[in-house]
Amino acid sequence: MRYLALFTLLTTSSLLAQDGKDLYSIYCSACHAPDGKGASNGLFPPLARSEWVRGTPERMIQIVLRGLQGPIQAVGKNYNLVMPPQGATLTDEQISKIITYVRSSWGHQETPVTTTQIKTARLQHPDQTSIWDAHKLLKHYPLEAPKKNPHRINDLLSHIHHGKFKSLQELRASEAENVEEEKEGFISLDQSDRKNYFGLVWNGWLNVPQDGRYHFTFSTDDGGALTINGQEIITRDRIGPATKPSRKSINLKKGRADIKIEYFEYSGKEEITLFWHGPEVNNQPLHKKKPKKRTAPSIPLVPPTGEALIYRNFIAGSDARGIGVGYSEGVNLLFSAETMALDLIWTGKFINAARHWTNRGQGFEKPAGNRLIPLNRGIPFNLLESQTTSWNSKADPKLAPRFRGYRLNAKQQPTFMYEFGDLSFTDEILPSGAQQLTRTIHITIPKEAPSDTPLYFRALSGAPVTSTGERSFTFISEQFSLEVLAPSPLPLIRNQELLIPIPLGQATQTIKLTYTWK
Amino acid sequence: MKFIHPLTLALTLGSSIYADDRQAEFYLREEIPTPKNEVLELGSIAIMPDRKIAVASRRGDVWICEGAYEKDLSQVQWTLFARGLHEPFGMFYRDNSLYLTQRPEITKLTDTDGDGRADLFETITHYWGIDGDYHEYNFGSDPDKEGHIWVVQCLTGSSKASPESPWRGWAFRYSLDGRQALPTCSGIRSPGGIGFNHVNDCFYTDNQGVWNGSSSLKWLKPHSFQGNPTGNRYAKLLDLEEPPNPQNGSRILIERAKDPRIMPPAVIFPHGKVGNSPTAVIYDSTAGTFGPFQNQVFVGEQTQSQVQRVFMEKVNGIYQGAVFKFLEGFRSGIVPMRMGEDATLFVGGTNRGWAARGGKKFTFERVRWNGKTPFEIHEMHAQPDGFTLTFTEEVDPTNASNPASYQVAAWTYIYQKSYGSPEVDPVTPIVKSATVSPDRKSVRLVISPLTLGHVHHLNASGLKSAAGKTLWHPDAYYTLNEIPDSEKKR
Repeated sequence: MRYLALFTLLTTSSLLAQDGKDLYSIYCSACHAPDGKGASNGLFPPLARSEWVRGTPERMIQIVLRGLQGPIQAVGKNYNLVMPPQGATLTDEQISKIITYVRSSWGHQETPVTTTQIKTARLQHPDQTSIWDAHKLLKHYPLEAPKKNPHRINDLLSHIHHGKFKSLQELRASEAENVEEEKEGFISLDQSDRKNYFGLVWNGWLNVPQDGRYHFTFSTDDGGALTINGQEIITRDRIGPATKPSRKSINLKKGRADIKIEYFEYSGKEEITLFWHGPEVNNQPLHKKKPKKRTAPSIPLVPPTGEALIYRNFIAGSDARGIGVGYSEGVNLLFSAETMALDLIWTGKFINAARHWTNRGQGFEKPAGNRLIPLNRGIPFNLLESQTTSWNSKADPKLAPRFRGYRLNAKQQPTFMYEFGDLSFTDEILPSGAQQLTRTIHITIPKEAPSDTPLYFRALSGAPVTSTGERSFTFISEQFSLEVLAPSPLPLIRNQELLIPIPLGQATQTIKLTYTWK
Repeated sequence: MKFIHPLTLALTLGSSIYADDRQAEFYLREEIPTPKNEVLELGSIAIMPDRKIAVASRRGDVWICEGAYEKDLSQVQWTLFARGLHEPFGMFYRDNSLYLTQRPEITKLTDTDGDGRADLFETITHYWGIDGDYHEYNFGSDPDKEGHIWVVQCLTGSSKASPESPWRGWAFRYSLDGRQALPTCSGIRSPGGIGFNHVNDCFYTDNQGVWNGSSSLKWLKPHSFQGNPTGNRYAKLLDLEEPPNPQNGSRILIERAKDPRIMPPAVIFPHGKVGNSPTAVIYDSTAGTFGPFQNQVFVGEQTQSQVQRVFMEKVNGIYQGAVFKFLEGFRSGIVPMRMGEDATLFVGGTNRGWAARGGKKFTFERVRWNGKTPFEIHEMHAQPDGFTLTFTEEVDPTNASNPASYQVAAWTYIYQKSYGSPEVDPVTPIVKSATVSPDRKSVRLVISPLTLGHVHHLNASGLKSAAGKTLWHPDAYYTLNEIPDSEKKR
């Protein structure tokens, strides 16, 4: 209540004279653009023509008051941004003026909104203390479906025929493979299960609004025919492109008129359009318009020939400090600069950067390639009292991990540098062909070893390890193997782990491994 | 006398994007071509020796530009220095290396073999937590005199602080060798830039949102609290004193009185009127060769694609001052800025994720002064009973001594957990007298009442210079944190 009381204090003199357009200009136009089309050429969601503005104002009031986030679609385009809440910034009066302005601008003709409606809306959804998630808001205030098309084809059925039809006769001689109900009431070639060598036959009925003469415009690639009330009025019995539609007129009585559309496609391009026009029917399409292609953005990262490419971002399979490396040989890795573990390796494509390089970059992106092998998550070096001591995922304070960076060779391939306590490591991972990585870990050990407790390197974890030799193992798949090369210490398998003991008596130690996909 | 409303200015800006075409009389803004087929969404600019400029992009690339000072910008040469960094904001050159604050760490990039490309990436520190939320931005400064890099660490999602992601909402100082990590200020929300003024005090911009009624420029006085208690939970990790816990729905002035560790914003940028998202903080380090604003602070503005000008003074030990509109017409949302050689201001921009008037996805531009002085309010000083304005040119004394040439409105903001605040507790002060100094370069205004803690908006569109010009920017927004006890000499 304190909150509302403060609003009554609001009579900021410098704001009194503002109308909805002024307020929109100050508070909204930076993102939604002065013309409502969305700033930066529509990079931001438009309000003009938007279904989010139409119908009940409550949805829009809630968005203005509490903000909106998460993926949405508006006027046929996808967005995933955050609208900050304005409820604490703007008064009831300002919000009502802005919303009323938007609802009556750029072609919108929606009812005005009162300050009482804003006041009421503030009290609704008391549990919604954070920004609305779009899907949650839409559960409360769904978008109104586009108006039902009164002139669609009723009880429309599609019959799919398979065959290399070059004429109507051949189509009519065949049996339908499948029959489907098309509830939308529009014919569409999407209703076929193939692109070439097929036919489609539709039937249903039109609701003729009044007695009169009706015109039909029909176009096909390849051929087809249009039959109204049993009378074949258009015949396109040919193979060829859709250019030059056929037009015919027919007298119809008010009420039901049966319609049958036949169509066949030999090969190549395919297309069908059908319009009708007459009293109360204004050049109405009876075919479904092709939906605008919504291609997910794609920015595939490809390492230059002979080089590696580093991608530091949020990559699924590691933590937020993951470092992705793609090698032009066709192998890839994901190293954690948090735990110093080689978390994941894979073959094929590296990664698609579109998630992070379009919009604000939320979320973890999966590697784009295949044959993903999660090697080991969590701290890879640990002190173990005995070989039965379980692996502690938290770092021993004496052995706190510290990432020191990486050095690139002439091929831009990194050698990672890190420390665990006083031990310093270099970790070089290089491709040897398209199916193998060779890894060399050098450890520099100070004179005073950090502990009498033995140090272990956990090379694999999280799945059963199968020994195929003293130094050879398969993991995750029989097609993937790890080899611990001599003179690295001999490894040992325990429950879903492969450990390599590291003697600390010498000044340096080297562990050499290969990871191989068969 | 018609009150010419600040709104008129905002509206003109809204309807036609760059209304005042006077900028070209004083400043030349030029776009610098960026490397072909590269998306160079600038987040950082560093000045290098040999008249080179390094820039870092939000995609994580570092490019070096040669020719950015030359007359013919079509001849600039770009060299790729590094790829694969994680959304860096803040980069500087020192001793043959570039230091760069990126999302997970501060990194020192060195070209050790002299082939023009970085081959050694040394992690200076990765002290702070990150959890995969895109909003955990970090903005790093240049090193201060003690060799510390100041980093402001945005809250998770700009409003949260989770145990998995420590030290969000704090400013730290990190030594260049990474050995020292000094917790410096608590109370950060969502920074847009960081930098020093001419006496080496560190400032950052914080954006309107939770506990920020409006965006502002804040002074990172060590051990002060910047206003947002969300990150307080981390204090115990280093056994630090619990930062202040302000009362929700109060006023900064009231909460400051209860706990003096609360540092009020030095200069508030009233939301919508001055800008929407302030970013880079630099100061005019030229010897007056970028116009008459030596030692004043310039602040980037992402949404409006502008640069604002800030005059600050210290009253009772606290920074405060006024923001004025300054440069505009940039082609994307301004994020980094740098004053380079030859009094060349470099600005970079991006609009990815946040709309900007400029409309382009990214931009790299430079601005130079052409030597002509604009008629502007130069400085605005608080006085016990009003303000002293100084001007870049002599004023017309008839006009300037008429109190009706000035209009003042004052207001403050609710200090609250909700997102932003309306302008509240409005006051309409009266200009009682306006006294022109003998040199006609300043005017002493007596205003009643002065309201402690309020933003005082002064509009002087009625004013004329001795040469008959009106002010290029007639609006000033002064944040009155303190009222001086006695007359200040200007």
